[in-house]
Amino acid sequence: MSAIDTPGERKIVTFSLGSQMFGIDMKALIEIREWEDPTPLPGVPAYIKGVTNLRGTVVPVVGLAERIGWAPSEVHSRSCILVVNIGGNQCGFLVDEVTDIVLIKAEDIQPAPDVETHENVITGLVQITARAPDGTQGQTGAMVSLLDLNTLSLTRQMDFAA
Amino acid sequence: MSKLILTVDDSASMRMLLKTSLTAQGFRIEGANDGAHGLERMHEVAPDLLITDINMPRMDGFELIEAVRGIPQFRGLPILVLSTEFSDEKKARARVAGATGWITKPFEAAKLGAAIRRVCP
Amino acid sequence: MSQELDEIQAIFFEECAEGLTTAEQGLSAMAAGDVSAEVIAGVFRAVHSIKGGAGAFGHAALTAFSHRFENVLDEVRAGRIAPTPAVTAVMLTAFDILSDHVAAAKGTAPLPDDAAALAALDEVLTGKAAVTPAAPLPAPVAEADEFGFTPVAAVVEEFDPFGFEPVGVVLEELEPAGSADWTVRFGPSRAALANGAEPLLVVRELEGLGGQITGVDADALPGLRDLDPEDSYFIWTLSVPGTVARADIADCFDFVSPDSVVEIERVATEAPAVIAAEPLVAETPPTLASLPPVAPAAVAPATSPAESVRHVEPPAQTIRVELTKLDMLLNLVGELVIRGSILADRLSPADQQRVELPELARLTREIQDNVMSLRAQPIKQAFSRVPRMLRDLSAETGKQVLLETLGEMTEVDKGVIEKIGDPLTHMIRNAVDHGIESPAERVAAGKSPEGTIRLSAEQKGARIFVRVADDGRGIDRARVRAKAVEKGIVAADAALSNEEIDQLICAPGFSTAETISNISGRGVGMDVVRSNVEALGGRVEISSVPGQGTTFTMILPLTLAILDGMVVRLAGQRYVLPLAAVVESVKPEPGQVRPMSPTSDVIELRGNYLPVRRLTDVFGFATNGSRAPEDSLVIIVESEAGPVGLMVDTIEDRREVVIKSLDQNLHPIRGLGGATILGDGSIALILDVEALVGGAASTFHPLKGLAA
Repeated sequence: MSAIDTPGERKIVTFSLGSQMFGIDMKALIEIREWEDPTPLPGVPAYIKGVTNLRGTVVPVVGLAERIGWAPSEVHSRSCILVVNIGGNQCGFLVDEVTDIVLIKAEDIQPAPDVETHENVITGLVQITARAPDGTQGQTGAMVSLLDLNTLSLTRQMDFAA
Repeated sequence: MSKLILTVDDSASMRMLLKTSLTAQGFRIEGANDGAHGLERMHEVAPDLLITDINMPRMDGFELIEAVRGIPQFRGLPILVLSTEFSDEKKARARVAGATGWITKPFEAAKLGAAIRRVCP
Repeated sequence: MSQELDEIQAIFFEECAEGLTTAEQGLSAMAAGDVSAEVIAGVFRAVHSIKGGAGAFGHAALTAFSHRFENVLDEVRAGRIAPTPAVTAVMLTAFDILSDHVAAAKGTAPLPDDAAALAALDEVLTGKAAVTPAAPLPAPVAEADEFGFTPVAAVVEEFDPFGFEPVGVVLEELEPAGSADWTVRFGPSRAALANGAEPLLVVRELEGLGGQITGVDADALPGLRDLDPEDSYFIWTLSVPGTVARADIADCFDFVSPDSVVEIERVATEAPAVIAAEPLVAETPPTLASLPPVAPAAVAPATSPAESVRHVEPPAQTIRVELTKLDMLLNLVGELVIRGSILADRLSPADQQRVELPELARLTREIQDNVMSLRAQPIKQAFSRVPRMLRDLSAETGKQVLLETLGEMTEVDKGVIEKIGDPLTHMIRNAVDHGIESPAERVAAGKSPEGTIRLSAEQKGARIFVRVADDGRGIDRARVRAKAVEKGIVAADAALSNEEIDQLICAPGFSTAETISNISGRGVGMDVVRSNVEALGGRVEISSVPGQGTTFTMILPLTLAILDGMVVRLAGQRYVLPLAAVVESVKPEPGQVRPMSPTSDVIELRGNYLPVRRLTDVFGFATNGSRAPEDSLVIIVESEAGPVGLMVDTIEDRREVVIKSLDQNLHPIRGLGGATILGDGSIALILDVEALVGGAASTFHPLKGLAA
């Protein structure tokens, strides 16, 4: 794929949490790392698993499933940490499996359904053709929920109790 | 060998602008950040032309020009004043101090070049 | 604009910031009564420089405003307007608007409404006795050339009666283009050869326009014996094609001395050419309607060199360095420190004593100190916004506030300066909003109508104390306590000391302001201040006397990045305790540590009983099989509440660690002063002892000699 963006197209990284697929803008992705137990932090919400060393920078690790209100992910051999850049700050998200890097057209993005959560972390939905596990181009379509990383940012002012 | 111009101005950004403009026109540039510094540099680099601002700390442009003219080696040196001021008093004072010419800021690159060629053989 | 120009413009904006600081200081000094020539000249130069650069980069609004401001300053500088308090007040207001214009030019703020300030400036100008109207700006031309310069038609200069430039442009409009050739006569005077001018260059320039020398008048040439090499005797006549514009010909004579002979005329005279063959001598030129007459003022003789010798110390040579480069250097030094420690660990005790190792450590330490001091700057920068803030606050609240500053030259790490800006702003706003009373209230209380805020910075040992003290009404403790109870922060029947009530102001979610005033901003309060300060590794102290005033003190560490620490292990994790807080470590004998209550222990040490906290409890970690005290270590640390013991599993070693901030990618966490990356790449959290054992977390006080 070309390195230059054609207007109207975006590259997204898709990954799975449980049975659902999500995607984030490729531009925000810094690195994909294997899961490593992070150093736990005191006095933080349960979804902040701790911090990890990313080449000399201390980066928080978030259990994404918990963060969006689901049951915590179980860590297994394909679990990864997606290290992303949110507005200049770095953060790692625990996901079940990274699937693919896909090129989508902006016009194919459907608006997110009205959900009653207090903050909408999903900016839109898009249909993609998922690759079959054996690498061949599958015919199965998949619905990918695009995440709004800004709503997941940890550096917004948080109320903490000692 | 291209001409060497000494630019004296207490604003670094202004000196950099001048340098960009003038090196593009083929000149070599040295800089100083006020009158006193400028005087030192005159001895060090012996430029073909001196371009100086007026309002500077420690030693202003007028004093610099007078001091330069007092040095036999530089009696015939072309000196241009480059300043945002343009009052007649100031210009007259510059002439009396020994300036060859006066250019008002902001300046057009081409006009600056023409002015330089007008005074610098 | 090209990237190069962007960089140059960035430097210009830095210079603007410095200029604004200088100007503000000067104006404040003038307001306080110091109207010496140096001070005024400093303010003038600052505004003048801003104007110059603004013009060069095409910021029209900023140029226009600073020009008007500069006019007034010029008059004050020249003594034609007296710097009365009223005038100074107008200039201070103009200064505030100038700052806003600079911000607008940078794109960080909208354009200010400067009408009122301009009107005030005009009043000052027209109010003075000798009326010299503000000289108008050269008319800016709309488009910039490739370098981004707004070109100024050189023709504007041609109204100079002193002959630097001849009058040509007025005539041009009367003459049809493309008519007969020009005849140009040029006879440079003696003066034309002075000042390094070379008349032949003018001739060459005319030739460049297509001109040709058609004759030379050498009548004035004397015999060789009488020839003065510094005089000029020739008059050249040139013919220049009629297609050349008169202005272009006139331009060539831009710098020619006024008493030279310069004649430009058309050969054939069919056109009106009313003003055709006029020798251009120093004369008041006809002016266009839009320009007021500029009377040539008497030219003051240039000051003789002897008079202008001043005793000035050469300024310290400085060099601009990008902060990121310093940060990288600091990082590298930090890594050096760590590697040095690890290296030392690998050596046998005997080798560790050899002179090379302490020498290496000493050198590393020196480099570290030097690099740290590179980042150290006077805290004055952090205080610079305060005067303007107070002026705005005074205007909005109607309260009058005087500002005293002390210790502005105290040097602190640049990182501190950047981060205390916001906390300082909050504290000042709080002081004016809640602390200082209205003039009427103050007078009724027997105080002066103006309140005073004292802003001070002091270094004591390894810490910096930054204080905001007001002489206002003090903290209304009853109200604070009631509010805290209402918000559920404390129980209704809790017994709280005065200091504890004061600290409630910093509790999360606390704010007594019923209306979040426009001034106090987004409604974030002292809790954000405290967390910001703690993120820097510091803390906030409050002391208040009802009716007399309140003092907020920020205590900050002097150096931010490197910490002398003790690495300890607890429940499988490693933590770092700042060595400065550690008093001693104790391996408890059986029975030396006893439970005091279900939730706290006590250690008996040389007759005193000190409280002991288990870090796992403090952090709220699940304690799966807490170790018996005899298998642990108790580290005695110093805190505001007195010495306290911290129970850990083991001590690993003592080493210097590089502090990595947690709030870069996360947020400040109470109890942690950051994190560090150990030699093996793992992360150890750095503990903030004070936050862990002091404050509301502990209500235990050490008891002496309690009989068993």
